[in-house]
Amino acid sequence: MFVHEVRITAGFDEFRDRARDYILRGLAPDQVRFLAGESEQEMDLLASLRNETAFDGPAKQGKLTVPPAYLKLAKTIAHHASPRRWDLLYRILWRLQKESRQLLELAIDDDVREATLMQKAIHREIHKVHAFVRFEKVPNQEGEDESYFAWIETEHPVIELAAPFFARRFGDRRWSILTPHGSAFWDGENLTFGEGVATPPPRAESLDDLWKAYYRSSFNPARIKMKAMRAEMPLKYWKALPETEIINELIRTAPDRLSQMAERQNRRAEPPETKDLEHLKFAARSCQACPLFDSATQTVFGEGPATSRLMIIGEQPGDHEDQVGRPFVGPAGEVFDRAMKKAGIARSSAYITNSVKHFKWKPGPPGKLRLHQKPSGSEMHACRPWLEREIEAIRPDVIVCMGQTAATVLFGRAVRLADEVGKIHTHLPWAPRILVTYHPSAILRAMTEESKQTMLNSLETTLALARECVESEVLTEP
Amino acid sequence: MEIKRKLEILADAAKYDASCSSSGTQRKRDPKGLGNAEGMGICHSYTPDGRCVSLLKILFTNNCIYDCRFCINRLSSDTPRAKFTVDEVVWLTMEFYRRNYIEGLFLSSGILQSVDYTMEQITEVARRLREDERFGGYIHLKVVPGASQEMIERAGLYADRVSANIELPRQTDLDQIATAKTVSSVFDSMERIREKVAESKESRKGTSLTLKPWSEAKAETTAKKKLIFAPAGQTTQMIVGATNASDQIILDRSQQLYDDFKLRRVYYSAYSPIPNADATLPVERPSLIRENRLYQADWLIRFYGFRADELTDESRHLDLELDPKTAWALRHRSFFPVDVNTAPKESLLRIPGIGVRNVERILQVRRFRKLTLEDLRKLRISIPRAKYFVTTADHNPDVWKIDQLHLGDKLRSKKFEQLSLFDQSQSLALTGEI
Repeated sequence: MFVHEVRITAGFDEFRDRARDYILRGLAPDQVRFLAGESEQEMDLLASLRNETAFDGPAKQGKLTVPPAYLKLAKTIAHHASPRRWDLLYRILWRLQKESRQLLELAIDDDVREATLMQKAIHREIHKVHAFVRFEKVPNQEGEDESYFAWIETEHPVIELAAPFFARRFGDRRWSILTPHGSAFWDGENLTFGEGVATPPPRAESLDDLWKAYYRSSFNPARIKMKAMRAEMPLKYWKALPETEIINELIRTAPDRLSQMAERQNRRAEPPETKDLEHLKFAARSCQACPLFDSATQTVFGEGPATSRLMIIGEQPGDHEDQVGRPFVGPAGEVFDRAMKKAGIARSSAYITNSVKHFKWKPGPPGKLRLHQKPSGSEMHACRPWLEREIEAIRPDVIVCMGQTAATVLFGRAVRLADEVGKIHTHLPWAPRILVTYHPSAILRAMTEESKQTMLNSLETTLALARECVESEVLTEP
Repeated sequence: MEIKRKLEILADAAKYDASCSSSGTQRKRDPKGLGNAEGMGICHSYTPDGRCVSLLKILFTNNCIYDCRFCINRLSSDTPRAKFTVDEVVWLTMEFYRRNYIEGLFLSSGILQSVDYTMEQITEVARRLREDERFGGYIHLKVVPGASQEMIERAGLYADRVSANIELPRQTDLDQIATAKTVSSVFDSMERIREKVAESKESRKGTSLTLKPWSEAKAETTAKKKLIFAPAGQTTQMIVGATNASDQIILDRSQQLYDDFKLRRVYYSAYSPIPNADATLPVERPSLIRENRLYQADWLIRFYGFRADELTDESRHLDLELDPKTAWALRHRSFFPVDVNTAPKESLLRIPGIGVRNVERILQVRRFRKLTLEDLRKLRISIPRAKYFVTTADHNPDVWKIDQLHLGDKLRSKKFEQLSLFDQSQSLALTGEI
């Protein structure tokens, strides 16, 4: 049987004209062979001559109707790289005429399946071009508007289908997108297409550095799923993607990043399950939940009767307390003691403790005391279970937080002292009433006499208020 | 601090939010501006953890006044801190978008001073992008629970999507590790958002799905003609494995969120070891498979007609070794076999190995002819999973095995399961084919 061969070089429109002609002439799919124009090596002069002589006359005129779905399918598949695409389209066209107009709805038909898969491949490629084009800013020429360009390699020649998206999205600037199969140009108003560019031009986009930094930080080293990544971002596109340059580095350093994370886990103290204060105090002596134990002399646990209705919490032991092993016995302790006296509270009736139980310090100038340092978040965090256990053991009616550290620990959020001082907080789980005031050390360190007086007044009135609260609590008890 | 360092800190701090989608809005570009949205959402890159990069996902700051134990940014964490300026975030978004690195911006933040102050900062970024830069790309803003009505309305005006994270399913879970948060305050925010989304939808009834450029849409909102408010709706996130909440409790909560607040998505995030973690949190990372199973169950609830309360077994957990649909089928063997040539759609949707799209194809094809086992194979249905549960026009030699007691073990041991398990959680979350 004589097979007519025809080479399609100008895309879908040419195919449509040829196919219409052949169908009207009644040529069955096995009597025609479509060759893809791009496969130069297949160029067979004889075949093309044969084709020319086969239909010398004018194309057959007549009406040929196809379902809209076919046109859509054909226009898409026209951009598939497979040399079989035209034959397949012709066969489907033939069958639509001879077998069933509903052929395309039959998803399990072999031809329909193959065409659908091709269509899917094209859609996927267009989508990937939309995703993976990386524009680079063209260095501004004198008097020229800002413009951008990008290079990307595609498997199928889809640039004409993919480019309108960029015109819609980036229409306010000029840009070019180059691919081996052809290039697209946007001048601000019109989209035009031209020759392809086989290899990527060297990339010099200064923003890539920030982009890679973002990419690196977004990566979670605790989960590595290279296969999933490659499935969605196939290797063939990597040349266009600046971020892929650091993938090896990310994989290589992931185990280190993980072990660093593990090392930096914030530890917490683990007090024994008891409400016996002596037992707790003993256990706290060997606490190593944070690094402070190393430089401190000893753990300074709270002191006072287990039956106390009032609990007073400071920040951390100071130099003197660290040596003696009791809270509030240094210079700040003197301020504290005087204020307690003035408020009419016997020190021995309250339970007095600190948020952090080890002294944190750095060496001062020679001959000076060790210099006090504020505990860090993780140190407060590590020590907090001891304080929680003390509160559980005592169940005070009133707690006074002296200073920001104590208030922060109990409130579970950053506290601005000025906002909280003087209020009676009744919404917290630790005690029915919680009061906040300044730390005696802050009073010692006050820069001006005026602020010193303000803070001292607050300390004294807060303690007095605490005493009133305790007393009213006692009175209202059934 | 230079902007690169800030970006490193604040992207690192934001990456534990699982939400990445940029879908759900269609908006034209402003003729003088940059960017549009075309509904689908695009993943512009993938990191080696298999997750997609669609939006510039950052925190405005990781300073936070709260001390939620599961959170890397909690007050008592020693993590390095940074804070962007509004200008910096606007610049980064525009420049990244211009190079086609991203679809838009996802902006969340630690809490500064107060909830509304924080909301003001991130909303200002969105306002600047929309009004000053005429930016038409995607914006997702985090709504901090407890935000005022006014702040929520402003966020929804500028953003395509807003989300209030519930983080954990029950109040008791929150009390354990996120003491600053209450279920009721999250619900309160979600309800306010739901109302505005519904109001906006109602006002736009009968108009094109594609929104006008933002400034025109805003003019209509101001003139009270049509309201724009978060056209891509609201989502939330739940962390899995940080407390002892069972899968059933998690799914029940999701079902409620979908029903009551019309959420578009619930994201599940396996609790991941974080730097400076609180040591009382689980040392072991919960399996990613559990996260994946929850996504699968979630899809069954949303697209397959399953109810949350029929998905777990006596343990109140999902089977880690079987996808929840197969697990359900094994617990309801009397429901099967289902005849693919006659069964109603609801029944087809319950067959293991057959996804929503293939159910549609089966319904279409069977108008023309009866389907055989080979036809199912051509539809790329997973025959090793489906074959025990279907009858076809031809002889199906495996269907009698449905009563075998060890069928579960057989299905568990299948290689296909493992492949789909470990590598596709994210893409599965996107397509939902089970």
